[in-house]
This record gives sequence, structure tokens and C-alpha cells, in this order.
Amino acid sequence: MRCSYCYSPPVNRIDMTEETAHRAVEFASELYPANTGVIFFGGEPLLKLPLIKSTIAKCKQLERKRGCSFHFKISTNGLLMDEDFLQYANSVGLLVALSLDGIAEAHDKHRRTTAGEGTFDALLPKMDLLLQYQPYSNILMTVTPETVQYYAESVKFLIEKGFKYVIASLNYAGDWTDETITELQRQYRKLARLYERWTLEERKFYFSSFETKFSSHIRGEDALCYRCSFGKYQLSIAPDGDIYPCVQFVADGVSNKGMYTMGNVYTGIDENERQRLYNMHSKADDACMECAVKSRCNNNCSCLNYQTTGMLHTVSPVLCETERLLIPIVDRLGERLYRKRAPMFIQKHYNAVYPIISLIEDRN
Amino acid sequence: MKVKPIKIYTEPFYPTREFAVLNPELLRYNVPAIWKAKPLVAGTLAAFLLGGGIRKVTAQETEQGQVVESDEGIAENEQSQTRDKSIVQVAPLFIHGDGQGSAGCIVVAPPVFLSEEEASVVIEEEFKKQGVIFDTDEVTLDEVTFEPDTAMARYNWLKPDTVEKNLNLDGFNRTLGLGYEFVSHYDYDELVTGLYKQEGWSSVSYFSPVSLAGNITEKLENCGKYNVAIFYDPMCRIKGSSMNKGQTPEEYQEEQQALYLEARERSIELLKRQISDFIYWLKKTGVLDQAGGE
Ligand code: SF4
Repeated sequence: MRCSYCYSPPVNRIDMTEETAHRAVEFASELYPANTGVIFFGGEPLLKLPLIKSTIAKCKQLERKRGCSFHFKISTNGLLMDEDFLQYANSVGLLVALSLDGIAEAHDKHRRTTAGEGTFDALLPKMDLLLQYQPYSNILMTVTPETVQYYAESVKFLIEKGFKYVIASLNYAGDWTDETITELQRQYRKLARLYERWTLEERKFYFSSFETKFSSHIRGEDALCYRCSFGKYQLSIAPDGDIYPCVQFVADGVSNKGMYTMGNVYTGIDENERQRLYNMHSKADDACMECAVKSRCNNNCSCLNYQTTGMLHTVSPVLCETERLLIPIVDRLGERLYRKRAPMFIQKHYNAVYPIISLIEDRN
Repeated sequence: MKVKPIKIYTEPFYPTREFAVLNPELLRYNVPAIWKAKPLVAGTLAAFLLGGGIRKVTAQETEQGQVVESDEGIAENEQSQTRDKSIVQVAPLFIHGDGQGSAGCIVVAPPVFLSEEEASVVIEEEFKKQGVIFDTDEVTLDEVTFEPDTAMARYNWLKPDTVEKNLNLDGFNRTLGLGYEFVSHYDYDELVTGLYKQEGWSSVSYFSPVSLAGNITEKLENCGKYNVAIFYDPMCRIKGSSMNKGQTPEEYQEEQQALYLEARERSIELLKRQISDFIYWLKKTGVLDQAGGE
């Protein structure tokens, strides 16, 4: 595929060797043997299914030999996803996240083949297949200025299709204008009404844009723990084994050496580099320091800042604008749901054991 | 487009998780119906929330005359007919009405509060129909004590009353050894926050008689000595309305008065349902045989 908003377009392409992939998982499990999460991303990782299988086999071997533990995820465009793969995925506990931008009009705008054709129709049967095998799989949805008018309709389509976890991201690097920002506000309001209805109907769903904002108020500082902490809890490994704090820095091909490399799986992490990067990340944009919502805003996502402004701690005006309109909409929604004592809202956000209860519910 | 810091942002009016920790009834009383329908899910939730003691509450609104069916306490009641009557059984808390809410300047739909006196008239009237007269209100339960939680008084200029208090029953029938307590918002401030009579200390106050009622039931259960009916103020909300065009201030005031009375009626109706559920329970346990109703 050739998605027009790709942050890692295929230039100077090199592939990760089996040796590097095996070394990468060995290295990661040494860092955190108790529960190492491995996420396969690309490009399109399913183009390298044999490598994925061999890497997972290596992990299983390490589990047996060293008593460590792994869990796996994959982000895919879905075109190569078939029954054989999903059977395999379920057999090894590999969770599939599907990149899908919503209804056909939104999806086909950017997610096209090399020949320029939309891929929505090809994905339709794959959605059902995925739901059949993994009813709780994640949908990774990107919203751009060109597709923003379909935002609410797209989320509605996905939830009504049966997906329960919609992880939506705005393409902040897109060409946002005052008109498209106003449209985004309109879409958020529509989404708030949908969210309210589904919650009152006691449907189970997760819509990242709203959930994270609820959490930022309800759980305050605790919610921050779930962020990647820029190279502290999450690492990204490039095809040549170089280590980065986030996928956004792994330019395809010969990796983006220099400023943001913090080691290599063969030589280990350079702690000075890691600390240097972490310090760079910890510094907030000066403009945000006096902002009343700074602890609830995405201003501290260095990867986003890097993607949009080229600087780790310089916030993009688009991000600022969109955060300022999202937070009050979510708060009014939260107030309405709380006033109505919507049980699903209360349990989802105030019950610390909600994930466990939810899991039990899924299995019964 | 520019990066524009927000200078002032009013905290939203839905609480933080800290509040849920201090008020466990928030999770206890707001359980999705689809969870209740799945015994394993409901059971797991109850085990987490109540540490295994699921007995006293459900969030289920029952029709008048019906006892809350999903309560374990009811299952126990069915067996109770064959039990030794000298063993005191504590009634479950019958949930009718939210029993919690806020009042103050920014609250859009404040609740109606029933006073202790208003509630007593309703309660005693209902019991009278069953031949039960409460002959004293001077019974104090020494074993049921409360220490106000000073953490609830977040502002340091407040001086919560921290003295430990016993539960004084609102009514008691000496022959039957049966009492009742109506948990009002005043009780909540007296026994939970210790802020009783500190009027005007905040522009918004939160009250949760239902949680205190749950707590009292639990204490009664632990001490196992008293037959006491616990009722609480349902605190129905007054439907908000703004002044319509062309409406005179007098008309608007009249409308507000009508909305207030309507909410009050709903509260009384829900209180009556709590009472009738309790009476039904009493009959099942055999206590009321000794009184003889109308
Ligand atoms: S809303 Fe804007 S100014 Fe405020 S913290 Fe976010 S990016 Fe910074």
C-alpha cells in the first residue's frame, strides 16, 4: 500500500534479518523478563510472516528456557490477513490491530494500493473474519483534514460492525485549516452524543480520544503512567537493530541514525543517550507552562511534537487547537453521564478492577 | 492557528477516582444491568467491592410490595422462616431512589431533602397500618458508633466535629424490640463528614445518605443485636427549567414551586416503597406476626 500520510514511507528499504529479530527479543526480555510485550509493525509486517513466526517461536523457546514471559501484538493493514494467519495468531496469542480509517469514503481517501486504488472493499470481508477470531481486536484509525467530516460516521460504523476498541489519532501533520478544525469540533459533538447513547445502553466499547481525556481528569497523575515515557518503558527497534524511543523515529531503510538512536540490540542501551533523550522529552513547551489544562493535554507526547514540528518539545498549533476543543466537550459529556449515574461510565472509569470484570464478562 | 494556553479552566463536575475510593457506594449502587444478569460477573464485582459480604444492597428498583430479588439477603430470608427467632436478623437495605446528590449554587438539578420530621410522619403512618406504634425515640445503640472522616473536610478552615457518635434511633417499639432510623442529609453531615451545622462552608455540598445507610446496615449486621429498619432520603432531583419568554417572574416562581413539590412527592413515594419492602421482609421473618396489622 501507499498511504499518503505514512510517517515511514518505503525508501532505502532494508529488511530485518532473523538474527537481528531474535536478538531483539532476547535483548528485550533481559530488560523486563516478567512480561515483555512485542509489537510487530512496519511498513506492513504481514509481508514478513515467516520472520514473525520464527521470532515468536524464539520467544516461546526463551519462555521455556528462562522462565520469562512474552505477549504479542501486530499492527497490520489487513490485506494479507486470512483464516490461516488468524488461526495461527490465536494459537500463539498474537493480538491483531487493524489499520482502518472508517467508512469507505474516509478509508479510501488515503489508504490506497500502489496503483492508487482504495482498499476498503478488500477489507470488508476481512473485518468479519477478524471479529470472528478476535472480537476484541483494536482498530487503528487515522483522521485527517480530508476525512474529518466522516469521523463520527466512521466510529459509528466500526462500533456497529462489532469492533469494541477504536484507537483514533488525528494526523496533526496534515493540512488543517480553520474550517476543518470547526468541522472537527462538530464531529466531536456528534461523537459525544453517540458515546452517551452507547454508554446508557450499557454497550462495551473503548473510544480512545474520549477515554484518555476522561482518565486525565478522573485518574489525574495516574493516567500519565500509561504513557510510553519516551524510551523508558517502550522501545522501538529498527531493521538494523538500532533502538529508538518511538516508532516515529524509525525511518524506514537504514535507520535514522544520529540524534535519536539510544543504542543497538547487539551493544545494548547507551544509558547516557537514553537519559539525554528523556531529559529532552521531559521539558515542556514554554507556552504550555502557564496553561490550565497542561496535565490533560497531549503536549508532552514528544513523538507527536517531533512528527509535526521537528522538535521534541515544541507543540504544534494544530495539536493545541484540537486539544482545546476536545477537553471541554469530553468534560461536558462526563458531567452528563455522571449526573445520570450511567453505570457503565461509572464502572469503566472509577472501578480499578474494571479490566478484570470486563475480561470475565467477555468470557461469559 | 497558534499555541494559546488556557488561562482559567473550571474543574469539571464529575469526580475523580479519589472520590470513588472515599465513597465505595458509587460503584456498589451503579452496576450495569447487563452485569447483574451475568451471575459470574455480578459475583466477581461484589467480591471485589464488598470483600465477600454482598448481603445488604442492590441498585435494583423494585415495584412496591416486592422485596429486592437479587439480594442474597432475600435468599437468606426464605430460609429464615425455619430459624430460631431469638437470633436477630438484620434486614437488607432496600434501595429506592438515588439517595445521593449535590446542592449548591452551580448545581443544575438539586435534590429535594426530606427532613427528619417529614420522614417520621410518613414512616410512622405506614407502620401504624401494620399495628406498630413507635413509643420512644430515646434509644441509643452503644455498639453502633461513627467517627466522622475528617478527610472529607478538604478545606483547612473547617473544623469537623471529630467526636465519636452513637446511633440514636428515630423510633423504637419496646414490645417488639423493633426500631427505625431515617438517614437524612443531616445525618450524613453529622456522622460522615463531621460538618453538621457548618452551613455555607462551600458553594456546593455533596450528601450521600444512601452510603451512610449501607454503612449502618453493615454495622448492625456485625453487632447482630438489633431489629432496626434503615431508610434513607431518596433525594429526588428537582427538574430544572429556565424562565420562558413571556413568563412573568410570578409564573416562573409558581412553576418552580410545582417542580419542587413534584420532586418531593416522588421522594415520599420512594420512601414508602422502602418501607413496604421492609414490612414485607418483616412478615417473612415472622417479627410482624407479634404485632398484628390492620
Ligand atoms: S492546550 Fe495548548 S497551550 Fe495548553 S497545554 Fe495543550 S498545547 Fe499547550
